[in-house]
Amino acid sequence: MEYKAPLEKYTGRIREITLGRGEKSLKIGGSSILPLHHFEGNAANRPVVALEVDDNGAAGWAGSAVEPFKDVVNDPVKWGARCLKLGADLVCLHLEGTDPNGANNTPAEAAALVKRMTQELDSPLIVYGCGDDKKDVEVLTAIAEACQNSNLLLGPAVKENYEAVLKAVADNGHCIIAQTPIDINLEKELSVKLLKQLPPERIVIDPLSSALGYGMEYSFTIMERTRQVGVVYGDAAMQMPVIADLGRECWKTNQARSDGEQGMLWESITALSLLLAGADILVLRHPDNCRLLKEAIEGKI
Amino acid sequence: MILIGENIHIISKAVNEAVRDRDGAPIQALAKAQARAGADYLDLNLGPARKEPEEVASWLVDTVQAVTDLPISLDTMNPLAMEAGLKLCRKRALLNSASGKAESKEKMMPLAVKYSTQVVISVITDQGCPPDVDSRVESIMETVAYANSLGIDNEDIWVDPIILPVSADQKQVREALEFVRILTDLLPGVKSVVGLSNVSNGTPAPLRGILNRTYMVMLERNGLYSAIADVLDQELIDINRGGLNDAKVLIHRVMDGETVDADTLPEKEKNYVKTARVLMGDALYSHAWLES
Repeated sequence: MEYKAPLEKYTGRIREITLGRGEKSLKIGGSSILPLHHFEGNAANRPVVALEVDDNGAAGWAGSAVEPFKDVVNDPVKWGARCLKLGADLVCLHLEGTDPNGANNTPAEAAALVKRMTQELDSPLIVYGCGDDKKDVEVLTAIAEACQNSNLLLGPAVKENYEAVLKAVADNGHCIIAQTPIDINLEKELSVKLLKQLPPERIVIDPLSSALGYGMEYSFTIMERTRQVGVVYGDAAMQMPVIADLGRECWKTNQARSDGEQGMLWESITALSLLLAGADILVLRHPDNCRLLKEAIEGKI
Repeated sequence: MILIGENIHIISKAVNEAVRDRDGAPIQALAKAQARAGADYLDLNLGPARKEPEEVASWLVDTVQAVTDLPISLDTMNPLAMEAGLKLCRKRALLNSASGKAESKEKMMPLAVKYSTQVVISVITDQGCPPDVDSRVESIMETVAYANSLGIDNEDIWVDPIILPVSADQKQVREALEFVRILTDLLPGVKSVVGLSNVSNGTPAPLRGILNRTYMVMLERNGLYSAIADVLDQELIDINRGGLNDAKVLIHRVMDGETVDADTLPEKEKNYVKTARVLMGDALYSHAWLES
């Protein structure tokens, strides 16, 4: 008699999200299986890898992470193009330059930059504000309006500002990053609130990614549970793809700052771990790790 | 179910200030309000009572007994405060609480014998709160056996399974529920008691009541004898007096794993069903559980 391995059947499915428009668009999520369990069924879209670009000249970046981009760090458009050339599926812009405690770039400046990037780069764009919840509302609103219908992935929307960010995203045809501080209950609460005004196909969950040695196991557990609750238990408020914005966390560790080789290991190990936990979008800084993760995702290592 | 009024609690700012200033009026107002609402006992929670434990406990018991005949549940970790208060209780008091901790066995339990009180015994040990049903059982069997050896009968023991907040550890909600279900089979004659409002600790204040009430219905179905609860919650009192039967039946159906179509129900019943699902662990908790 032929042996047939028993397979679990799940009730839930992660929503499929489209980022960008037309030929530049990319589909994320859509899986009805646990992460990388390809024997269980259809993953729809494999996880994607984004490389990070900064609007502040890579200020504060560890040297080894800057090295592949050192001639373009002052031009985010060229930097983004380099990311794609080096294998990234898409580009993630962090608007550190808008930080009121730093360069304090205006919302109009940020919007002009993002518009230029959407026009000149052949990939969808993820845009993170600086993390100041008031400034982010101004900046993200300006970007959402200037890039109407470019279908950006914009965030972070947090507990303190989600209503305003949601409005900007919903009114202008973008997708939103729902960010909560490594807490499954708060994560669900924010999802429930956003789902009242936005279809699930326009939401990505960011449970926050901690680096190896700095709480990575908490991020791992939350991502793992998010997928289980969404796919295995069919909780509709938890069926959105997860973004792991981990590169910046890894490269700011003491280990990465003191030794570039350690930085590479920190980023790759954290990324591989969060991939296993269920991340659908991984945001990294180093292109060699981007290549490594893509090989892992394609099952070549 | 026997209800023990929780509202005279040292964590409450008004109570804390009244105790500090030895101002009896706010305490007596709370005592009378809870008695009127239908409390069977009044819990007087002094916390650790580090400052003047004996004076504070005596003053509080006298102050409350001046306006009500209800029996007292004296709630403190400090044995000095406990003894001073128990001495003055006119009715048979409830010592709240002892546990499996070595210090509690040595200093609290003998007071229950000396003053012939009833005694709350929790599942806590020197190792902390046991994480599941089996370890709770192991702990309570050991601690109750010790109490018996001191001469405390099962009939005078009120076992507390320790309720943890659903917002902090959703799984524990169901562990405590299961523990209550099997308790009287394990220890015939013992009663049970929970700190009901603890289930909603950490939940935004306007939403706490429905968690407390739903959990009360679930625990009662599993045989719970008594609860330290917010007796000033009128709906909780109504339920305890046999009201809201439709909601109760629905909660029981959720406990039985039946599929209940919440969307077709009136708002109130719908909310009880959603709450029961969260407490059973069928749906992941969030502060927005009634909105999804």
